[in-house]
Amino acid sequence: MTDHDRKPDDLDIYFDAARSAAPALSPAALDRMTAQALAVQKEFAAPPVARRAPRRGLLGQLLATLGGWPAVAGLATAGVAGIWIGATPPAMLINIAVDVGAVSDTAEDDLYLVDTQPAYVLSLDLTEGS
Amino acid sequence: MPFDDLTLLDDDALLLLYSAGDPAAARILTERLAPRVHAHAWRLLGDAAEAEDVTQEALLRLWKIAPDWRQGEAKVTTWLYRVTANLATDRLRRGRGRGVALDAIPEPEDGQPSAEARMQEADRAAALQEALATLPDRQRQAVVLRHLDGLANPDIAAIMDLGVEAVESLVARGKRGLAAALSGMKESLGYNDD
Repeated sequence: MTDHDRKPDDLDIYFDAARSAAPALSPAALDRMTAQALAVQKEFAAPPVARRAPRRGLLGQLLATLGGWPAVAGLATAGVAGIWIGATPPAMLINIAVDVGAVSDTAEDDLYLVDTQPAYVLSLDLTEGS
Repeated sequence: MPFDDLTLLDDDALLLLYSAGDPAAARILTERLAPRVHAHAWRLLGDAAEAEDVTQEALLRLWKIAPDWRQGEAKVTTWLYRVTANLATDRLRRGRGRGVALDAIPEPEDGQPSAEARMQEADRAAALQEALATLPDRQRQAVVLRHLDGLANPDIAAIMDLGVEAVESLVARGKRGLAAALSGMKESLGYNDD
């Protein structure tokens, strides 16, 4: 049967022929496309092994335990302030100490202020001579 | 199934591996998809070199969106056919491809004894390719997807972003156009003289 004998709308013979007629992609083109796929992949692929976090030294571990640099700075400030207050106590603090501890007005207070170890001079003697 | 045989995985799974950095997935996907994309592009454009450029561009786009690919939402091939058709249409509208295609189709030689001798397998394919070039873009795309790439109408509807009925209509009109073009070619080439 020739094509002339076929019905005008009988396209299957053409489709059958065309299905096998598409030119094959050349091996060189396929290699080029594979290389392109690998090149793009390298741009976004995650590294196979995650980078390890650097190890902390002894000072770093201590800092981390205390809460980091901000916490340590607060501690240092508090320490310096304590030394400063201890070395040069403000007059107000002395007055408070005198009022609270060193002098008693009543016999009841005296009971709490008994010096159990008179050999040691540890009591506040700031009122002496006043 | 051996666990290391990646060729048994579907396109979605391979694309996931590809975006995770597996070079074997890149090779398998390229070998699997490039010939299909190239054949489709050639049928739309009719020119092997143009089809190769389109294939490379379509695959490049796939590789670039691979990390953002949403598994299970669309088939990789559906997406690729759509991108390929868009790229081919752009080239055709710029006046490239189709003219080359017509030039590239071998003309039947004069002096051959019969229509049977002239209308061999390759000639029929060339005639169909020439007839396809006469169709509007969407009709050509629908006919190629249905009758040459062998896709089902629902798949074509997804690729062309149409309803199934619209696809059926496009294919039917495209086939009528092809039949008319082929009939005209046969007459002009003297195939009805025997």
